[in-house]
Amino acid sequence: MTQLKNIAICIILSLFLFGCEDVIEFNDNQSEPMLVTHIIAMPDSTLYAQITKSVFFLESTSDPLKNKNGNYLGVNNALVKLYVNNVFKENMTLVSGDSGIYKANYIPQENEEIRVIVSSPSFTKEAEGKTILPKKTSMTVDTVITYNQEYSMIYDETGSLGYDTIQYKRITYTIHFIDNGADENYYGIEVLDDYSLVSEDYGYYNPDTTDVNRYLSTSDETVFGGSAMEPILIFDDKKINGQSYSFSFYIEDMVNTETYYTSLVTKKRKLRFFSLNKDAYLFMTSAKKNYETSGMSMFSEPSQVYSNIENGIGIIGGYSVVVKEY
Amino acid sequence: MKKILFFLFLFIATGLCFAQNYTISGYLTEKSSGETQIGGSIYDNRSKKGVITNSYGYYSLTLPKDSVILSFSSMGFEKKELRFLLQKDTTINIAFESNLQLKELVVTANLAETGIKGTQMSTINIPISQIKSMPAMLGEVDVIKALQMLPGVQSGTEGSSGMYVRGGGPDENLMLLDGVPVYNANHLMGFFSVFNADAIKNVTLYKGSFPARFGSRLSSVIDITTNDGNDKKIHGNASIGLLSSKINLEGPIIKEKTTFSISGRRTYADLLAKPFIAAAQKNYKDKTTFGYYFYDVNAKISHKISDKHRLFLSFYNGNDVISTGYEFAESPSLNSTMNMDWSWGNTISALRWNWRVSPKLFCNTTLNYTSYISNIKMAVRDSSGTMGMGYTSGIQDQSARVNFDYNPSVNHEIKFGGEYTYHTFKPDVTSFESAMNNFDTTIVSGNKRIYPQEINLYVEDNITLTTSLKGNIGLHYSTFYVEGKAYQSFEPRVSARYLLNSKMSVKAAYSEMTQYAHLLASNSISLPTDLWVPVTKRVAPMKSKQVSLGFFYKLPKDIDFSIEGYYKKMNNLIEYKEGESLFSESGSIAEGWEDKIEIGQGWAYGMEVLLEKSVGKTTGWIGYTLAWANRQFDNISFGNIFPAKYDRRHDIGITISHKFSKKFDMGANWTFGTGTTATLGTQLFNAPSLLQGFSYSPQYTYYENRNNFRMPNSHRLDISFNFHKKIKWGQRTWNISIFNAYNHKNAFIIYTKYDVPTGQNQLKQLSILPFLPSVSYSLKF
Repeated sequence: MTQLKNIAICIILSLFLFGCEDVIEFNDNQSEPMLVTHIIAMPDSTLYAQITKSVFFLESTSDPLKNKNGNYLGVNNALVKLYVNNVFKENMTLVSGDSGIYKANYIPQENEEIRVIVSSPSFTKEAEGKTILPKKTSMTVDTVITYNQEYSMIYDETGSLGYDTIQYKRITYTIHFIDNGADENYYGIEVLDDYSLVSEDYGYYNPDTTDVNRYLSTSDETVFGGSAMEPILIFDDKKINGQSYSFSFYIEDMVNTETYYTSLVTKKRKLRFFSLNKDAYLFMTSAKKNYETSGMSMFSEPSQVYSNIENGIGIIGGYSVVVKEY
Repeated sequence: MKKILFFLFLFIATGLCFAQNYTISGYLTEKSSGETQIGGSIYDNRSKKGVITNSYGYYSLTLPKDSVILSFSSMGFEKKELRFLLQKDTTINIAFESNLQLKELVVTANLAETGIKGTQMSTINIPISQIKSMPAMLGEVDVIKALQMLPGVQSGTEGSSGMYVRGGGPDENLMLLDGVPVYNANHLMGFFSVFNADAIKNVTLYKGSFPARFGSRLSSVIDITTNDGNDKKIHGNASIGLLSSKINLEGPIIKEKTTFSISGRRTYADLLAKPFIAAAQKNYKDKTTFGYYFYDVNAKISHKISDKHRLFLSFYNGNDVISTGYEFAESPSLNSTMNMDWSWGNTISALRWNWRVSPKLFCNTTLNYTSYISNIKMAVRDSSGTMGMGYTSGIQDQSARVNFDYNPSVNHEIKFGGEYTYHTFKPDVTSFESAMNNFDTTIVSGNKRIYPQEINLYVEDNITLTTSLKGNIGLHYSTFYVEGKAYQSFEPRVSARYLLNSKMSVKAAYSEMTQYAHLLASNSISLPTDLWVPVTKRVAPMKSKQVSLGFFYKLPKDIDFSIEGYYKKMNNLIEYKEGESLFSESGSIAEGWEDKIEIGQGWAYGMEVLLEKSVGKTTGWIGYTLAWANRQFDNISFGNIFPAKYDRRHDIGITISHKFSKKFDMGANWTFGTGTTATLGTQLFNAPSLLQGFSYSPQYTYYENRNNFRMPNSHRLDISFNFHKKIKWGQRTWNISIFNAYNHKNAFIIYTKYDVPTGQNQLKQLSILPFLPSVSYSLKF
């Protein structure tokens, strides 16, 4: 199939040999920068907003989305009005001008509607968006550890080809939870590791590396549609609505052997199970697709990132989380 | 549905109750060649009743016992008139004489099915002579490109033969060659169509108000009939152009009984390039070869068994072929080779039997075969042995069809019939053979063949209700059996014409259509990987409902004016999911295609204006279309309505041919189209990972909507000059064509590119068809 695709690309590219290029003047109102609003809301947690601006796609700097200091293009003169259940609560306070981070004093609760109106002298229109925080969820986890090994080809010190044995420790997690049949529900799962990097050979010790996403592998047909390997597994409840459901996934750690040595040591592991609201779910799934399909493709249509912000770009999304630490 | 059937029965039954009627029937032909005249008119000036000839030049007109004044006419021929007392069933065969010296040639458009007095609307018949007089790209006259000049028909990318009729997709057009579907009508990535104008007699486009006899596609029917062949003496023509050469030969096998017609053409860029490629590599040990060509052959034999029976056997075969080769010295004594040949094309054959059962009843029975196959062969030969890889995909239909034309009374022209089709869908199959190092391997993998069966039945009646009001009412039924599931569809078709006076009429029509196959193709150009797939248990048939209303006016100087409005609703349309494409990294094109698509709906509405002059020294038309075409899919653009890929707001097509003298004529086409749409990300932005705060914010691209960007408007002028001269044994013609005469750069694709001198990112377009002059020489004998 790749061969077919390559041949088809060659046929199309051959048109460039006798075609002629011309610049298109972009006379469209879509070239003006837009307000970008991102708000992540969790029940019982401080509410933050990040207000930045977008950049026209023909902008020629090498890293157009960062300023000279290497920070994102934060909008530090924004007025961010917070409404909860249609009642004005406060203007959010700027806490990081370079990054455009704003903070609210109000601590939102589950099932509350969070609405923000963002205005800035640099933009003609107010951006506005709202979302409803999801209910908290719960889960239980079973863990099974197995070991397996595989052979890999290596070159030894003399340059000769040989085989090495790599041993893996597979940790299979099974999550049990009950879906609330009255609502549309969306879930996510991730595993974060805190590492230490220790190299005895060179007497080198690296300070802790925290919250590193592990790739999770699953073959659950019902909610993931078969095999998947992602740092965050996201799914909806369309096929399990109102049911008590269990799904499994695993991560693998390499184990030191006589011929193989890893200096990576996991100090702590967090398993986080999310209940996402629909806005957060749509944003996360579409952003992933947008990222994967970025760039020009001859054969496919690009993927849009979901936004619930009027007169702007971005998302107000909500989630609740249950954390299990190991 | 029962009500519809009841009323249909009622209408037909009333027609059978008339008495003391007699039928005049026969064939209209062209005298010098014996070629039957499709769409010729037979009109009784006393009763104001008339009919037109069918696809075989046959007519049947039932009138009351009375004296009649019959006018026989066919486009471009002298009208013939007969007066007599009709007191028995009468056969009258008319042979028209071609006489271009006549000052007043007959205009039949107002009498024909498609004109002021006909019941059909949204239907255009273009004489092949008009198509041949139009400017040609690289000397190749193209039927589909001529159709693209008509209102309601949008072209695809610049120069391509893609057709988008009234907001429909490129796979929603039923292209019939002598009644047989053509699954891939493109040569050279769609820049030329497979229809060789030398082999064609008649082209009719239906873009709405579909008669019940047609089905299987949502948006249009292009009915193309090939020449039967001259039954008097052998004639032919041959031409040599920059791109291709063609030859056409026709004549009698048994005089006035059996005729043949054969046409062939082939491009020869591969042959011309061969010595240059060889010369360029003269000093290299490694050799590379590359070639591309296409060819097609049309052949037809017609045989008159008797006055009542005629047989037609027609055949078409056409292929595009790309071949590449690489030869390199593996050792001083051994050369290794690697070759790839990719061919794709159609094979079509039809055996038709006309049977004039009675003066009132005409029957045509057809056995059809059509196939489209794409085939790749790769072979590697070196010191270790040989290795080969093959890839095949395609579709093949075998069908049997019977059609009846029944004219039982003065006021009814009934058509009915049915067709059974056995489809064989051949999704991609890959084979691998190896005989290397004394180790033989053969692997065949791919998708299993699918064998759906389709039945179509129809009945339609062209009813004269009053002298002013005429209607065509019909019903098309189809069933499609696939994967153990049977889909059924009842499609009512109704059209009516009300004559305001002898020069004006208004028409209205309603039609429903169903389509059981989809083309998996890229959006922009035709590729040999384009693959037809049937509907499945999961993917239901596409359906459309269309209503249209029109006003038709016969202006002085034989100019026809029409204005039509339409509204079309389409369901179960398919589009690729965001980020999905024809090609997947694993698997095949056909494998899992249902998972790559979304199912949604579409709307198309607009207005079409056509001003047409079909006869005289100056012929041509001016067409204008104002149109909207939108789509809505739940999982594309988050359910928002977005414009279709070829949503063009304004479209103008002007084509003019003028005959200055017997020795010189010229033609010009000018087209203008509002830019088509494209999905363009216009803003870049950062977005944090929602679950991990603001510390990590990758870059994303903002797309306002699917197809949010409109490409630049396109326009183009093509001109052709024909210089004719009589020579000893016929006529020679020099044709000089200029494609894109003022060299306007129309966008083929758009992309962004970093411009080093200015240090700016730029939005760029690629134009591939600039000013293109060409010359061809042809001989007619």
